Amino acid sequence: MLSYLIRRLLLMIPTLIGVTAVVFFTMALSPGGVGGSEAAAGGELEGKSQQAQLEYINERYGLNEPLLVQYGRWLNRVSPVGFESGQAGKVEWGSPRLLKWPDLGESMSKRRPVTDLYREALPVTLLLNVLTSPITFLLSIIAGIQMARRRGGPVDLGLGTTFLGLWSMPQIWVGVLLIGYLASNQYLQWFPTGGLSSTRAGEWPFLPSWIDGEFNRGWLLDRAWHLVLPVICLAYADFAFLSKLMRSSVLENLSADFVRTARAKGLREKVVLYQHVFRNSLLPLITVSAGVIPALIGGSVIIEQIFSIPGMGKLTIDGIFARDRELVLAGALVSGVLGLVFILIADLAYAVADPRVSYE
Amino acid sequence: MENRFGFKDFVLMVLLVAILASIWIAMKQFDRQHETLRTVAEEVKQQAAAQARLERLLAQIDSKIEEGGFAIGAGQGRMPMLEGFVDPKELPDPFEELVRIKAEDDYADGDWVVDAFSVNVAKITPFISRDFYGAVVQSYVVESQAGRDPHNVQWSPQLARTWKIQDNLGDWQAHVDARMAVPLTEEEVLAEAGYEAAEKDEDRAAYLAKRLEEGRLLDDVVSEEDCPPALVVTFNLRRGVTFSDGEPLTANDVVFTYDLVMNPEIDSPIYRNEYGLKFKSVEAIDDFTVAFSFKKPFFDAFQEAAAFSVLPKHFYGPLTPEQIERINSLPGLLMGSGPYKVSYGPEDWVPGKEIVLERNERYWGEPSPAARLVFKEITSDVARLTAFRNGDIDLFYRAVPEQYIEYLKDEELVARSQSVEAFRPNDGYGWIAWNQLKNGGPTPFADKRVRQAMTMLINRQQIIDVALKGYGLIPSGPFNQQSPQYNHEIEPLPYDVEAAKTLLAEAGYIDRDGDGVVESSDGKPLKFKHTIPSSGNFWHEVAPLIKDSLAEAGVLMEIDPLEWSVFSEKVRSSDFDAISMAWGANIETDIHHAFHSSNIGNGANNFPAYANPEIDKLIEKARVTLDEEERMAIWHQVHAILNEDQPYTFLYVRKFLTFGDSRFQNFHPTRMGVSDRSVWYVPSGLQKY
Repeated sequence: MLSYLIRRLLLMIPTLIGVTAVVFFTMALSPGGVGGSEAAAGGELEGKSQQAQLEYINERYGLNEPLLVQYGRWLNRVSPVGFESGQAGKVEWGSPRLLKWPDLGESMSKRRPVTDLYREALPVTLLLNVLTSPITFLLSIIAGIQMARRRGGPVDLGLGTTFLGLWSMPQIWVGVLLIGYLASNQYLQWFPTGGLSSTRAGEWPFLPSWIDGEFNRGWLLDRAWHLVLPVICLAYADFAFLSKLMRSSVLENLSADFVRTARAKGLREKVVLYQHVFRNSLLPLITVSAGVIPALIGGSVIIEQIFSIPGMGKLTIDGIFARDRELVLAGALVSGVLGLVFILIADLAYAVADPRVSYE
Repeated sequence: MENRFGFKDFVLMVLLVAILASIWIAMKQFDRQHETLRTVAEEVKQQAAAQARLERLLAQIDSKIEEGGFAIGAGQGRMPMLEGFVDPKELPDPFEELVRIKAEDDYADGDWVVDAFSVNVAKITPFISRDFYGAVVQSYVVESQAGRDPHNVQWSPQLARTWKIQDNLGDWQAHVDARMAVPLTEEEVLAEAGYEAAEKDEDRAAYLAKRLEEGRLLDDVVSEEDCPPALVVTFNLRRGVTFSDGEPLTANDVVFTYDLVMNPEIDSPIYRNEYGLKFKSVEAIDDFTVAFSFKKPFFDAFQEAAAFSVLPKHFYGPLTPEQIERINSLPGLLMGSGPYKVSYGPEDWVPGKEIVLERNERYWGEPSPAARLVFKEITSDVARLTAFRNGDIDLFYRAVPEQYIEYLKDEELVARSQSVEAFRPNDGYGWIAWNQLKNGGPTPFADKRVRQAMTMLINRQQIIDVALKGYGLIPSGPFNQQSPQYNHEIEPLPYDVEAAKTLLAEAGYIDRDGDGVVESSDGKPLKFKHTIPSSGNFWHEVAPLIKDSLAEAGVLMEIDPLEWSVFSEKVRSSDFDAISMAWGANIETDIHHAFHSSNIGNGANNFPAYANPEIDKLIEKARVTLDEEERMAIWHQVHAILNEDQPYTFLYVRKFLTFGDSRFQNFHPTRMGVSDRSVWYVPSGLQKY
């Protein structure tokens, strides 16, 4: 088991190098090149100033070096084992380091360390997704079981059609409709139009309370109120896939031999369903959720754009449009690492869950 | 096993309840402390305001004494230092409007102005931030020596009490002439940075040859240490001005700010290059006198010096490597002497948080009515208009025509808001540039007649009516109609298909084979690609209109939308036939960067390779002409020639459209669009926050 683990971990290194190399060279060789829009950001400048600006950017980010050198420098910077990095990531061959913190570099378009940007965007995205996924999973599981129990009946058909309908509605349209109807004073002004907090929430107490005889919803409730529409918008489309998965899994188990045995020995239908079938039916959902977790960190560009939420999705897209090499590479690296780690965890979990699987 | 609620379960339950209860109590306690803190903060604020009032009073007395208003002791007269300066009494009072509105019956202090940006602001640190929106925020926090009065666009003193402009042209010209007469030696070239930067030997040799042929450059001569300044602008600063943390502002802070920008480690290459080309030095003569020396007589010298923001030395300095790293990487390092300050603290704003400015209670001048200026970020257009409708935001600054039309349609909304439509002198213009030089050879657009024909074929009024919903003007040149630079005698070329056809025929483009497309004498059809930025709708709406109207005269145009990075690459390398963009403008705009032939190639801004020796001469002359009337006459000449040459087709100038909540009083049009939010007030009954 241990040797398998080490082998898998070591295999990750060439995979990650491959992933980042493809991203790096695609960016560098595409028309416009890296940092192209940055050089143009100066606008109405004299030729000399523009030239100086370009030289400054090239020097600061080492863009005038050969591509292979640039990529090597980046690898050295993010690798935990390597050499110290100097100006523009220059490798200091004289000072090798056995263990160092990976340095994701500085974003060219936002001109701040990528780590700082992630530190700001990640909690926002996690908050949204950590709230959304239990809701989607819980509702889908319940719906899936009910649909399987009443297979072919009105509940099955009704829920199935509804979920498919929801799944076919694009988020970008639903989000705008939600704001237009549920957040506008022309119709129902139940929710705020966007953002994560009210303008004054910073001055409010944390908990709902009465101040001078007037109800104040407090910071916590205000945040929850702002999250309602984005969470709905994030959640609704996933019901279809997850509930269908749950439904078919329950159906499969219901026709299995052990269910017949359980029924034959006279167990009540509830016990059969919830103690025998339910647990076995969860397995495919667990497999799916292993793939979902890296996606949680990716964020959703559309939701973030519509509801003015500064999360990971928007950060990454901004980086791609601005040809911001460090930001895009960091994104590729982080999602690559997370993806590989969770695939590994899923593989290990099979071995734990199923005694027939062995990696010896 | 029996499922019974045992003793162990009971203990667990009690523990759980106890933990939850203590969390609850801790939260309550936290809220109580929060309440206390708020009261304390409020009191501190009031005390700071009281102190600031005292300081203002003292400063007034101080300057009265200095001007000889009171006779003290042996009765000195004016201080000799003020010689040559403009009499402060002749300069406009920057707070005249505020004093006037404070005398109104319904005037009341307080309330907030909540605005929303349509983008995420990355940085608000002065000189480091490149955002337009970052600059908006800074304008309330950081001040400069003088600012433009929005009503008459004249300079009114801010940090400076008065100023003088010394013209040293005689000495300067004599020195420059003497130096330029000395031939350039090889040793001098060998010491140049450009020579050292070349790595290969043949590059070095080429550089040497090139430089020796060019000879001595004016820019090098004026940068030499012993060259006298051409102009010196000296400011006498006000006494009693403090930064928002109470530290006094002196001439040393001005000099420090200059040193900060010019430090090569600081991430502000754009400012550094601009200032490096223009400023010779910034020096403190005494604590309250600062002199800006210029390398050449620039027409906008006073503007550069007057609008130079002043940052606190004690906050941004000393410039150690760690501090420089902080300045470069922190997103919101913002402190100044202005009427507002960042409410989170001068270094604590991070992107994603809304930007909240609160009134600087220590402000030296007349305090503004609004207690807070809030800048939200609402990235979705629909959400922004809905937020305005709901009253979540108070202001819709620079709406695009579609939004404005939608606003006007909603009668109920119009009834509870106010709007301003205006053409401002500092609004830029959109254009098509006709590339005259591609792949080393001339294009059909190298012929002036073809360019004129293109302009006459494009129905600009139609473009304005369709894409700008009528909110625009047709310019005849690169200057703004509201600016004194604009030559009103020049009419834009008319939309005239027949005249254009004649011009094309004169240039040799006639439909030779009867296929409806005009061909040159060697049978090549007149066909080109119009490169536009692919983001946004605007150019996607405009380009097909142009394509259709050109087709009427048998000119084939292909629309070529490109993503921004690719687009800017094409622009830099002049790899296009025709390209569309927009330039910004100032009250007086320098067009050297776009139309002077020295800016052709190397990624500089004259990318259509327009060269006219007459224009070159006139622009150079205008830039060094200090007399305004004389200079405007030259700009008018430039305007006339550019209209004749049509290096660009000048497409449109947008109208400034803004609407705001009706509770704001003193919301009125000015020369600069709408009166600033710092002079709006809300009568006490209408206050919302």
